[in-house]
Amino acid sequence: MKKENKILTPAAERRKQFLDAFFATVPVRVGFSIIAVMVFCAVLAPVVAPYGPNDQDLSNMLQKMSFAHPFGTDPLGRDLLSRIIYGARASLSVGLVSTIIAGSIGITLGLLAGNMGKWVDAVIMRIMDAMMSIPVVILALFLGSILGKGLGNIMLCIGIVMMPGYARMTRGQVLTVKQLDYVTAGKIGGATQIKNALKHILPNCIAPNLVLATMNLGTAILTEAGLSYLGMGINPPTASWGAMVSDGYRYLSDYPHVAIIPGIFVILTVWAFNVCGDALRDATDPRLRGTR
Amino acid sequence: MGKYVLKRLGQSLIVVFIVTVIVFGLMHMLPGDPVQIYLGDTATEEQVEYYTKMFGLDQPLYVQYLRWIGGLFKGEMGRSITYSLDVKELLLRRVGCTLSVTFPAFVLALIIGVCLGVVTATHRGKPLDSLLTSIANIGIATPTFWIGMILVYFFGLKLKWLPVQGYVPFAESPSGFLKCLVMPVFVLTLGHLSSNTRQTRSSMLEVVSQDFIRTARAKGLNENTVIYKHALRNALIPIVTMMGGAVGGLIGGTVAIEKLFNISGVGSLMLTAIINKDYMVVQNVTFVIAVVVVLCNLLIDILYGYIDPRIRVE
Amino acid sequence: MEHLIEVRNLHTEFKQSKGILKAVNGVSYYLDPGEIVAFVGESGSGKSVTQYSGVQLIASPPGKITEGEILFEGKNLLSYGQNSEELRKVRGGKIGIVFQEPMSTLNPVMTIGNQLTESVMLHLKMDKKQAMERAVELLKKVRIPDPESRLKAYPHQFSGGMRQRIVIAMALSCNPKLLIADEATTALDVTTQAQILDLMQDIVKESNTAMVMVTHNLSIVARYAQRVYVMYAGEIVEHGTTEEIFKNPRHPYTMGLMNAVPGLNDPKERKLIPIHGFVTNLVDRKDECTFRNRCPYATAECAERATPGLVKVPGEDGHFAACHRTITRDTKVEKHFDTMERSYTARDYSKLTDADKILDVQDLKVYFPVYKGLIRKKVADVKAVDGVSFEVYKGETFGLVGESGCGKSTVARTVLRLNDATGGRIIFNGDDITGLDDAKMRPYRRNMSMIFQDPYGSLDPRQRAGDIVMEPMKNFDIGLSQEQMDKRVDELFELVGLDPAYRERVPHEFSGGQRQRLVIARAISTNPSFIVCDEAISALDVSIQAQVINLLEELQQKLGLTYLFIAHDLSVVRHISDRVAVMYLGQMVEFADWNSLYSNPLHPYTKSLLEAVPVPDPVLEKTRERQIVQGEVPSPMQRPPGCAFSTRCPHATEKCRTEMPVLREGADGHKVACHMI
Repeated sequence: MKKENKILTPAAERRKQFLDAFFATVPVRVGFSIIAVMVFCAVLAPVVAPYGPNDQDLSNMLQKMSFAHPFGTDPLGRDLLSRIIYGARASLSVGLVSTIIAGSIGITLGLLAGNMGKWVDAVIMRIMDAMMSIPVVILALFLGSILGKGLGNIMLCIGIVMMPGYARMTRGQVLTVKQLDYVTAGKIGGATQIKNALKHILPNCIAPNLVLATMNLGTAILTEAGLSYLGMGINPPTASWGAMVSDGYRYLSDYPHVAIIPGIFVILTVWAFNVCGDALRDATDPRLRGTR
Repeated sequence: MGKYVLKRLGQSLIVVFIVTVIVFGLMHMLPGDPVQIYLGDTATEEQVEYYTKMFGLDQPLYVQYLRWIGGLFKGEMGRSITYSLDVKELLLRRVGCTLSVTFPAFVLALIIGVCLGVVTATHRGKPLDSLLTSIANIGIATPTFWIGMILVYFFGLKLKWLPVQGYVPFAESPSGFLKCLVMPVFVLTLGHLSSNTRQTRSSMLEVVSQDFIRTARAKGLNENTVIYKHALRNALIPIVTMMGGAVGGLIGGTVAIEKLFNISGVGSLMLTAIINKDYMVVQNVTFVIAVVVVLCNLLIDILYGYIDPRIRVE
Repeated sequence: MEHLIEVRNLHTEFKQSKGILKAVNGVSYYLDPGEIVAFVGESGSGKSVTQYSGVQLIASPPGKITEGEILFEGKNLLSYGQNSEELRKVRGGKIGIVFQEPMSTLNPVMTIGNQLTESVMLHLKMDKKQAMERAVELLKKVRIPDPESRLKAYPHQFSGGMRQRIVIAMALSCNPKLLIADEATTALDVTTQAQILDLMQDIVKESNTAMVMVTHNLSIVARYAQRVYVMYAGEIVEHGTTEEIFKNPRHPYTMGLMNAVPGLNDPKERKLIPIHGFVTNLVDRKDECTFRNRCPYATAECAERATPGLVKVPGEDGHFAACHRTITRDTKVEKHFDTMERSYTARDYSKLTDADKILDVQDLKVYFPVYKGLIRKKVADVKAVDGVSFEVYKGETFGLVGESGCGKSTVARTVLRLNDATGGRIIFNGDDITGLDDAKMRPYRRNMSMIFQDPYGSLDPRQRAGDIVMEPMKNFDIGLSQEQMDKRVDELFELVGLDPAYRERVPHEFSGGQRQRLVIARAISTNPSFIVCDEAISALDVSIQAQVINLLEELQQKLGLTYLFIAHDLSVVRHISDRVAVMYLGQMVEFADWNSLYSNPLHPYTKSLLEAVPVPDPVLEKTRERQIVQGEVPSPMQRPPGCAFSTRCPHATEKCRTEMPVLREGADGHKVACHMI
């Protein structure tokens, strides 16, 4: 009788299989937990953080680690832990929004290029090639100098820079899926070209894009940190991990923790997203399981 | 083969053309009047007018664009405002130190990355694989400026083995040159090394599962022959394809590294130019970098034909 | 006497997430020098894994040989490590293997010369020059023209058949004692298949090499093998000489296999009897007869007993069967899964008029342009279909056969207007649909449908089964309400033999046969009258093929469907079709009703096709005269100027090489395009 409890509906069975495959390895569980904690802290930053991110306490500048300030304080006497928690807000939101921007524009363009073919394809793809031939950091700096600093502009800037990747991948995917018999079957079954593209082609191009997006969340956070480090990122005094490393550099020889600790958080977050992206790819494409 | 090269060359030209349009378009979207910035707040209206005419900024956009392109054909890139120098000359002065960082990094990342990738793939599932793969995963997630800083802290500030920053030309002091480059090259290598390791590993595993590897084993060849003679060459095909993008990534990566180690290369030139709104520098250097990347991609596509005979025939 | 190879009680397992899959479960067999022995069974029967286990070529992990002995020339191969020196000397040196998929078994980035010489240099200790000479000799042996210059070529520069010859040359390069051919010809066309199999047989006989043929094709077994091992679910269920097995099969599975395939000499009334159900899950297998759930002879007693072992059939030497009961062809069946009869009435085509035509194809031409150069100038046309005319009458099954590249699938796609026609007319139900654009074509599509070859690729992996079947009804808005459509989906599921409870499943949760049923349900959902079946059964296992063929026939009778049935399997086409057309290089070379085409083929190409097909009867195969046509189908880019078949035709004259023959009608509407008739 025990067995009967185990019988699941097909949909639930699929979900369970997928989750089992996704959470198969220890690093994924660790990575996923890291993301969960980061998201939790970012959302509830005012509650979680012991101090305000910009509360200066000039009598307590450059403190070492202590109970009052677990990660110490920065040159302006601000609590590093609190700034890191608020920095998670900036990092995660830049990652999320820029990925959404990149994904939505990129997938649309890729879908157009792959489905329309001919000159539409040529025009879109050559523009994407051109964008991809300018190194990410330089294009981002370039765009950043036009758009100006600030959270929203950074999101837009990183979003645009990452967009060609989605367009390229979606187009490739569309070209593959288009050849498959079930798309032909859709046509025979009376689906118009647009309906076929939206109903049969698009859904089958989403999975690899989701994987790319998860990985790109990490890349976007890394890029934001890089831009902030270069001084082209989020406006001070808003807390940003990259800017914190940059600011701490001057005090490196005597107070290395000020620069080192924010960097560790960048690594943890980016690593967590990459690991989850890997696992997502393996779970959606069982053929690849364990090969990367 | 010749036709294939011609076709790719044509595509590359189109891409370069689009790059010029993008760069030029973006330049003109930049806020602020370059002449105003050049002259500062104290400039009189006549001065502004004079310089606007001198730079040809009163002309319609397409004329300005054609002038720029025409200049490029003649090898002219205009003048830097900050440095009061010809951009071309400036670029030539700076390119040496950037190359001495990027080139070794490129070669090291490729060779070590491929080797580690093969090692991890052949030890799949064993502790060595897990260890190296984990390190590679962390390597990819690490910001270059951060790891560079850690190195500076230990080797420069604490142990004092290596200079904290700066660049010494080879002609001046070969040992100083090498010492200066150790950390920047290492830092720039690390990220690419990690991603090359991952790429090679996945590509090797994909190839090893294919039928012709089973054929090779069925012939009774030893495992080394199977891996190095049969699998590796096939596995390199996707890696070679990625190299063009890697060149772009390396050049982009120098921006942060040159800032960190205070090296006056192309990357730091770009950064200061953008901060100082030295537009001619930004516009032309971006263009040059894009051309380099496009050329690398073209070269790789041609090279590709030699690695993969299936492409060669068409 | 000592056998060349003797395998005792071999067990191979694969570790899976859900448990341990016992792919090979206690298999014992032997081969003597110079013998040709077949291992026959369907996919998943463990026949290939058994062979790969012998040379330790299974992926490990997850695979593992857990028990058994493999004695090769008296030494136990399993005592050697997977990549040990000793085993590698045997592998490649004494045992050669020919794999199934010629397209992927050769290294794409190495010249075939290098691939051929490396094992010769390794095992025969030759230097580079000697090895090259040996390679040329080997290529000559497998009849590759111009071998010296071809050594520098890469695999992709050869056709599939040529590549398989190279793989054979490679397997034979070190004079092995044993050759393992794993479905070596399954991926090839019939004429190429016959060429390759004859070649292997000749070489093996000449050099006294033993050969294992792993195949699912009983006809091949009948023609080439001396002894047969029948495998099912990782076990050998029957073993004996080929003649005994075919004359007097003693295991229900062997009988089932024989009943499921059509033969070239069967009476038309014979109904195919599929094997119902599925192979039991081999993960955590139980100790019982694995065939019990599908066995029409199973009794209550079978359920209580352990896995049956091979027992000698009394009165017959060397014939063993693993069945608890003593079954012969005359044994009464315990369970009927299906009706056994099939009626066939030939129709009189002379009385039919234009109004009875559902499809009229007139002089159809489909050319695909070939572009070259920077400005993409059109340099040539690939004439995929060049002047094909035929008509299909309501309610009939029109068979279209030919080898790969003959243009049969292009005809199918063009008739459905998935391709554009370059010339000619397509008249469907009296309306010319040749030039209609997508929008104007849509109303016609409701009345025509298609069943695809690949049951995996033709279903959207993200769509639920119910939605898949409902989609055409929604698209064409056939005037049903949502509830009515829901009801109709259930009816359609039942009609094609699927449980309506499976509506919520996605395609990968169905087996291959079930998926093809789902494709059929979708195809008939809008009540079309005309269905194109493009290789609809060739991707399925034989027992499943029979199920699908029977379903198609049943639906035709119930719903009055018309089929354009495209296939390369001549026996299946013969079984299902009323009239048959044969295509070669984009042209129709012969056309007649099934009976006159198969009993009195006129075109040399049709004759050679029929001669190339083996029949599942070893006695008949022994006496059958065959002349295998040589050469390969030329590329459509380089079509011979005269008769397309003139380059391979044994009767070709000067006229054939210069002048293209036209399709002329002879007696009883039998049409043929040949100068010699």
